[in-house]
Amino acid sequence: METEGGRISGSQLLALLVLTRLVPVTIEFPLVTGIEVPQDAWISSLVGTVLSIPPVLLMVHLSLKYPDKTIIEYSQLLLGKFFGKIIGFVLVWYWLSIAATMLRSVGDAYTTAVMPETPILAFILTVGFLSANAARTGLEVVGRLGEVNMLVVLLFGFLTLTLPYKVMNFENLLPVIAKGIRPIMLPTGTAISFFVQFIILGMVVPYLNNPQTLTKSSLGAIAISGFMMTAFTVALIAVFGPTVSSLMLPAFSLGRMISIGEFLERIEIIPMGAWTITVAITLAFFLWASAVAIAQLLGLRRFQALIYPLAAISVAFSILFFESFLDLELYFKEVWVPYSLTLTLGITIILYVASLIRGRSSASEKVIGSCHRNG
Amino acid sequence: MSPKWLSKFISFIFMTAFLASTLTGCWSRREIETLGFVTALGVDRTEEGEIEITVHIAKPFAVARGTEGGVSTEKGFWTVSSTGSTAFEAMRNLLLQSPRRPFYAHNRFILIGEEYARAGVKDILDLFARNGETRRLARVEVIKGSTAKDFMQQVEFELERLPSEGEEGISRSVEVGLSSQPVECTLNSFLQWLETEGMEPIAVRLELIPKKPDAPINVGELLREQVRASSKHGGAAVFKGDKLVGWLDETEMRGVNWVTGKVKSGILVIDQPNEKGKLVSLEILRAKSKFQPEVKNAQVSVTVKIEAEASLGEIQGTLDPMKYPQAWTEMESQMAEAIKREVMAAISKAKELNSDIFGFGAALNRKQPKEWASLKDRWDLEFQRIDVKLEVEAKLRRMGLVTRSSEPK
Amino acid sequence: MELLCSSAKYRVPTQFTVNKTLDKDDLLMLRSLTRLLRKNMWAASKPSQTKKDSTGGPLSKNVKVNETLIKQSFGNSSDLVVRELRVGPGGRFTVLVVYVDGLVDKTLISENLIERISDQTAKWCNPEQAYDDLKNRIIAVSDVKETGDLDNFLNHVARGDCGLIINDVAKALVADTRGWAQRKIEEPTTEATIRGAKEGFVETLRTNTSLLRRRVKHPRLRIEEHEIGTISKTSVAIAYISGLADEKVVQEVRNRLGRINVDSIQESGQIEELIEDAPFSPFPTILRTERPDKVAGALFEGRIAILTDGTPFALIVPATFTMFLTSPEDYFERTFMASAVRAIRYLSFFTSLTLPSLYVAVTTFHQEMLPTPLILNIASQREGVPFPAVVEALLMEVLFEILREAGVRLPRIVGPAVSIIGGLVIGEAAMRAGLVSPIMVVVVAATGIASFATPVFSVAIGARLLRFIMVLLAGSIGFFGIVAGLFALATHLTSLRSFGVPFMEPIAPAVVSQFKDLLARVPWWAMHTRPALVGHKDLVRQGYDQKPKPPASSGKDTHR
Repeated sequence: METEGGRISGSQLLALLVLTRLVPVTIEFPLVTGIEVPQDAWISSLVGTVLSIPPVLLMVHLSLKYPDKTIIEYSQLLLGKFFGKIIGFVLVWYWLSIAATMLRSVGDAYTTAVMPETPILAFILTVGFLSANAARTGLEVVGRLGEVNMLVVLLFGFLTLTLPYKVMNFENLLPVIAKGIRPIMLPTGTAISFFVQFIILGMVVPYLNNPQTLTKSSLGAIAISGFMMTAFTVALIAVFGPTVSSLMLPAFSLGRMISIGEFLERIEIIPMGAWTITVAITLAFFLWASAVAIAQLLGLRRFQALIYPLAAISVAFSILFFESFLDLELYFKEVWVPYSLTLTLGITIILYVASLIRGRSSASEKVIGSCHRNG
Repeated sequence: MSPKWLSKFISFIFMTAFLASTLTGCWSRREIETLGFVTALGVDRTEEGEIEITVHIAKPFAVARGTEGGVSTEKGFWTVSSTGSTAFEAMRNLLLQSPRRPFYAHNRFILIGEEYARAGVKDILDLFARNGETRRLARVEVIKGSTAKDFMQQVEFELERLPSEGEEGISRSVEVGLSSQPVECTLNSFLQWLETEGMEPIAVRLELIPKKPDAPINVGELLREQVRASSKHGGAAVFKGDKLVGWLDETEMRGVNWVTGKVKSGILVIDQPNEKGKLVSLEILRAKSKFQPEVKNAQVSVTVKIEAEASLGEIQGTLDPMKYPQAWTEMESQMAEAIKREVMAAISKAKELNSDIFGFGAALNRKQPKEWASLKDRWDLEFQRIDVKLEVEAKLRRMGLVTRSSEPK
Repeated sequence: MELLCSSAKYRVPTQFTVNKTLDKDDLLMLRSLTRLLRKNMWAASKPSQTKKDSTGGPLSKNVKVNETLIKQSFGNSSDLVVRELRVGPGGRFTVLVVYVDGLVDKTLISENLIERISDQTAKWCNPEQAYDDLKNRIIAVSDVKETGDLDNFLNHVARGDCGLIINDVAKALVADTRGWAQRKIEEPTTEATIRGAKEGFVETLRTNTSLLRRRVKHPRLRIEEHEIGTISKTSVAIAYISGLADEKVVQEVRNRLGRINVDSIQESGQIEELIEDAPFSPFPTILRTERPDKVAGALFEGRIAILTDGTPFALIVPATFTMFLTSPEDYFERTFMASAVRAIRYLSFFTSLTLPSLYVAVTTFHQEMLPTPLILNIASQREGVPFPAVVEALLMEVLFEILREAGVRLPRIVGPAVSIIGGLVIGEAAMRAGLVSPIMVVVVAATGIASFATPVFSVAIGARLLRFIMVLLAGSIGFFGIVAGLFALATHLTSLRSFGVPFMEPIAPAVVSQFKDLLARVPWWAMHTRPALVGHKDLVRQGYDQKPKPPASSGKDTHR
């Protein structure tokens, strides 16, 4: 009895991963505020993209060793029931915390920029409910939605990037690397910390049409999202110059700078809407992953029953964790990077080492076994 | 099967209930007819030291084309001021006077009185950058010689019912046709200039042309022009940091635009080569410029290369360039001289005000960041003794529909 | 014969007096038969009973008994004709000719049956020989069946066949003499096209299948007939091209049709509701059409059609969302034109769904989005309108729906007049009375027009319904509400399936090979494959390299 019956294609996984990476763009400056040399931020973004390839490849490699198992299942296989389950619950916690920050982001973005009088709960509840609704229908639907939405996001992203061409000044990007390598290398950690969210692919592998597309999808996702991030950073610097590091909702602010022929102005709500849908889909993805993970941890048959409670938990987290927008910003600036990096990389490395040991011991067992038989 | 649709039904009920609850509240709802659309906003400081905000609120019923087709003759806007200890408070205090809530999303102009600008503008700009309703692309303009309130109370334009539309139209024409005012001088760029090293902000200079004091009170249509106060565009307000330090006139401002490559068009008047006392107008067609700062022996020099093309627009005297080709080259060199004069005027004025409005420092930073790092603390001094090398390449490309001007017998 | 009928329609009388000519045996037999008949008829009228193979007992050898039974079964209905012919040497044989008036071709019966029976029966000697002669020689009708079963016999008669019973034979012959008044094949009224066939389905199943067969002249076109409705006995045909349609889907259609257990089917809409995948969806997951060319086109893609007797509307499964925004014309017009029109159709579908809600959102929440002159215009128009924009929008939308409905119901001559005059007058008057703003009238009119651009009515209705929800959402939380509504709709549509095929294919899941027929319709010479998820049995549809070009040398030669 499978927990999830649907199957998704490689391109749908790619889309979901891209969206996962792009979600924090609007809420956070790509490399988080307070960066020392704003005009070099795009280099950090690029370097971060490249540097996040090895850890993601490690995750892919690990998952492909057990193509018919989720990360929850094979961690129990590798580390034994107890430690495996601990890792499983840690991952669920990680995903739920991401879900909570995403919900909070939506709420804060709308209450800050668009409708200050509306209670934040209205936005959080609506998005939470919509995502839970989508997640209940299973991975298949989430994947399809993601695939369509990626096209929409790329379109709106492209428009938001190019339409403020009038106020862009690419001289803002100069001088390149004026203050040495150090201030550039520091923010790359931030970029990587978002890319390692790709650990969620460990939940998807058994439900792929063709698990062999996994490597291609993940690398494609890194390439596309990395390119988008870098392009966004370049556009932001070109438009806002040194003031970029003061922006609260950078991508949203970029949308505000669109002004074409006096009639197409202040249309920032449209890219904002596209972003909202992106958040909803990504949230559905994380909710789905958490629900399936818990179902597998506890041996439940239907993950659907867990979706609404989990959504309710993330809504509650999003209210309880953060009291103001400042909390969220500080969380991203100070807590998120070490938290995300140590958690995902730690788990991946532990599992990988375990799989190596396991592999060697099982190989030696085989040798011994065959010896016995021969003897 | 049944629990599935039952749950769907329950979620539908939930959704409907949620909707109903949101509908009853009217959190961010603001019906369009309850809003007063602010089209221009002025900032001053009162004698008591409070901030005074003056706004133009459009009267939709007077401005819009009514269903009956005609446009009413009523004045299209309402000028109202209010004070407060901060700009935000002052803006909120407008509610005391305006039956419709002032709505700032359509405001394109932030007008600053001269006095206020001289004391520094940074403290109010934050509001406009922080608030979600205001536009970051609003223009920043400084009123020379009067307060923003005076200006806004008096200014009116023929042809346009809203002063903001008039401002907009004239600004666009001046940018495109005269090149004698700063281009894209928005709040966004102002904030960037404030933060960019080696560059000082400028803003559009506005001046009030007061109405004639002796105009009769009751006037017919013919005299209306003289009755209305109007505005004079062109030139620029020069800042040092966030404080206004002086003004550029139209010629000087075009000098700045020559250097930064923002001249789009304009008229250059030169002497006619073959006839004393007669003038020739050249219409600038396009211009390109490039400047390269350099540090050599602790001396900063800037090479400014300007390429300009123009067409012969008007000859006052008698001249046939076909018969007298030297005149063509002479006019070209005169044109180059004229451009040089404008640029030098701008540079000497900038040096006089000690404000690097060209961004020479910023350019140096882009090119030689290390040199800049050593220079930036004493840039004020360096800017004073900066050596500007001008290379102007002027070309006359066209001469219009006739060759020679008409020759009276 | 006098019958004391009970009032229940399908009840067979419990008491009756019989003609004196009947002997005792016959009477006994008649009684037992009547009991049997009553039981079966009664059972048949109850939907709980499994239909069809309810044997109604054998026919009697006695012609009189048979006649009585038949008449009773039809409850002396006035359209039942039972003609008794005395034929053979000396009128020894009695032949009953039974048919339902109006369902049969009367000339056929009189010329090919009655006339021939009267003329050519002189050599008959015994009933068996007479029966064989009748069956093999005399009846000059191509389709003749034998039956010994009363129910079966009655069913045939009720369908327009002519039944023949000869005395002393417990079997009957039924000849296919069906022929009734039917509507001519006309241009479909609900799906008019500029280019394309002008014929539409009619109410007769046989004619409809013939229309299909004429478009698919290949023995692989399969038409399977089923009978649905325990009382109405409606013929329902499944049509598909064997080898193109997925046999599993065909079987699924058969199963779902087989599951239907209702007393009657009047229209294919009932079948649709009984077999569709998503009964609570605002959008249909089964396509209906009255165009044979559309059905044939679908068959060639590997889809399956369900034709129902008594209605011109055929059903096509599996249906996908894009099919609802497609008109057969798209495939016949030139490719650029077709693609452009299709783009307009998608746009107008989206418009009809969201325009009023966008108006509400912009005027009550996002006033910064519009250019200043326009927003001032709208503000001045709303000057003095007492309602909030959302109420104004709902009011006008409801008014518009009333007008539309009235326009449909009214006689054809006054219909357009009412809708035009109603629209103009009410719109203008409402504006002048200050109930609504002129811009709202523009918005509602544009939305209305856009909703008529959707080729399939049922989808247009779905969009119309959802429009109200969207307006409410926009009125409560502005653009965010619209986005939320659209996302919920997208989730719903993406989760739908129509007979195993994802409803939003080829958009979600993206089927790249099918993009050729999504927004743009590529030229026919590039339409190499069938839709991958439907026609995967035989994917390649046509030869490659068919792009027409002028012959290589033509330019030189002709211009000489």
